Amino acid sequence: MDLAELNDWMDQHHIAVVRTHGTNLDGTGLGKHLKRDKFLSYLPNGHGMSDMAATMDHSGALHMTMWHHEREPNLGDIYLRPDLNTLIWDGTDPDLGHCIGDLTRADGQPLELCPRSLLKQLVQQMKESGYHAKCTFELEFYLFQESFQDLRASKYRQLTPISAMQKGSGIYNIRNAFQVKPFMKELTKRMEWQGIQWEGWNDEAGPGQVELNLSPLAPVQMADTVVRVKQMVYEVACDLGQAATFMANLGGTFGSGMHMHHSLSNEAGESLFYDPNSQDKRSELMKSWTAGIVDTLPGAVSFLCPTANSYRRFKQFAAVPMTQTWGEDNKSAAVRLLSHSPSASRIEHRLAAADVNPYLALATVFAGGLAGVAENRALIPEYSGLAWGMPASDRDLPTTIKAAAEATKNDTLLKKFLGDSFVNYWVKTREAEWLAFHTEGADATSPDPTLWEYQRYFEIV
Amino acid sequence: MDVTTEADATPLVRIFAVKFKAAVQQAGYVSLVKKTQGTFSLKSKTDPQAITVAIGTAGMHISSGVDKASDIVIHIDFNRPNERPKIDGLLRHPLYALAVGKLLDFPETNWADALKRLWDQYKDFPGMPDGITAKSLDEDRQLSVGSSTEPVYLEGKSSDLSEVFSGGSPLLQVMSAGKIRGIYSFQHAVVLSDITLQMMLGEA
Repeated sequence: MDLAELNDWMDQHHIAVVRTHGTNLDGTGLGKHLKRDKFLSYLPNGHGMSDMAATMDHSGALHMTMWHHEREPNLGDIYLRPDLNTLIWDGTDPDLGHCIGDLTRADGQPLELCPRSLLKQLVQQMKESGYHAKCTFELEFYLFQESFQDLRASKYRQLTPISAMQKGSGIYNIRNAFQVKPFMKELTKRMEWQGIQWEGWNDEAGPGQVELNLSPLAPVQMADTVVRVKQMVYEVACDLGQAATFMANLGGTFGSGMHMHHSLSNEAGESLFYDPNSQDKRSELMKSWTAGIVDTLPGAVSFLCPTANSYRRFKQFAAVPMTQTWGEDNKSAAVRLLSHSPSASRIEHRLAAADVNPYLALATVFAGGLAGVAENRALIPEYSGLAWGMPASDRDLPTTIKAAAEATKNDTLLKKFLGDSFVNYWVKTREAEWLAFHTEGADATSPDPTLWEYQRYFEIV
Repeated sequence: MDVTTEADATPLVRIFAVKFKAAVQQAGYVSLVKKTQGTFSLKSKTDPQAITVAIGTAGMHISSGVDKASDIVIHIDFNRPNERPKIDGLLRHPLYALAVGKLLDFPETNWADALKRLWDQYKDFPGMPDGITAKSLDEDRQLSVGSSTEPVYLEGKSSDLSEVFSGGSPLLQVMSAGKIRGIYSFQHAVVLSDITLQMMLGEA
């Protein structure tokens, strides 16, 4: 879109203000509301933001115990460079537009600490190998009757799920679904106004828990959609005087995850995962790609389960994979393959928590896949049993943020495709999260999330 | 003397392991430890942090939480270690409590020696300044390590300089509390905070 076309589009949609939207390592949405002429005047480089935008934690505290060579030596500016392909009309606010962007250095080069830029790099590498990915996410979140303000005031002691059943609700329950329908109707209406395609939603296993399924897209567009929908869920909750959260665990049996599905095709759109001549219908590419993903599972945990609260989700028989396993249509394994037809042939990665950064999640999984193909890795044997309640073994995934960070630090395959300096910086951010969790009032021995977790994560993740 | 910790130890366990490991390098401290066999716990007055230290003939083992086998439980504010603690089990084990008190009075580190050791170990760490000049305000004494062309300059009381240079607290945490001031770039302060944090957790 050139400047004239951009102005025409803005005229047609009566855009007076544009909200820019970047995403930092923790997945926090950051940006500015800019008057239209100012937004246009900043093109193509975008507007400046403090180095803090890329280097602060969930509480807004600056990263003070880790250095990266691209950080500004004295807190100077980085930039949020708009991707004009993402410019959309808000739909609800009549004069507002939204534009997603990449965090860049002052010279316009992508910042290594920008998750969206990292994913773009991985996608480019895949394209150069002839792989075109389609992905989708399953978004799980909880809905509550109280407003965010009420919950803050009650220190999160009063959480009333929007659900017909307040305890042990089952799943797919249409009475529970009826209770959340007003919220979901408003949400899906706004999604459609913004051109966001969805397939369905249903009542999930926890009281007040919903799963929303988005239509498949190319990786960067998919991650863009996820950050937009998460923001929209927050805004709808605010507008309806209710609360919603993507916190990974709220103390019950079932936490919130974000299962990722992806498939690879060639430029003609033909599946690269399906091989009709193979006995198991899996192509050699699918096998080595999956092998890399499975081999990097321990190192991927810290990216896919990024907060201290993410690890409360790790419970046996709670729909969360606990082991480094894969299986055909096996929902207890970390990696579930579906290989039966060319159109449905795909990989479901079941490890990510709902508080994951979707750009980093996809980048990590693709890094594993690329490593598997580059090294022609052989797939470990399929696990065909139920992968919960198994005897302890070296296939157990790390279940604390510190142990997961150690596994990431030692993962040479992920480092090869995500970059040493990026991975080392990420590991230090997780160690800082671990330190904050233990020393600022949280309690690892508590069966339920502590106030520290609610205050740090409930509204932000 | 061996100082061991549980696997996947909490920060507090690691911090005390570092303190004990440094202290048992001194013969006098080792004899103190040998006289303090038993189990004691330290529990925060302000948050859920707690550790248990079990001392046996082979050495000491540190784990998180308050072990039921603890002879005494000392309730303290870890951010204000000089405040008077409350001790459970004091009446049953007064002599043991006294010995533990001595054990927790860790030998002081000279700030200048600590700075020299830090520099020797980390001068090649990525992002380090070319040199560090530190000045003790109470001793009115200054020490430079590395190049003196454009060093990071830090000043404060001897005890606060020692706290940072020996890995007791990350630099920027102590600076945020106003206990140390200086002339430095943000980059150098972050790198020195990274190093002092790693020292604090025994990961250096």
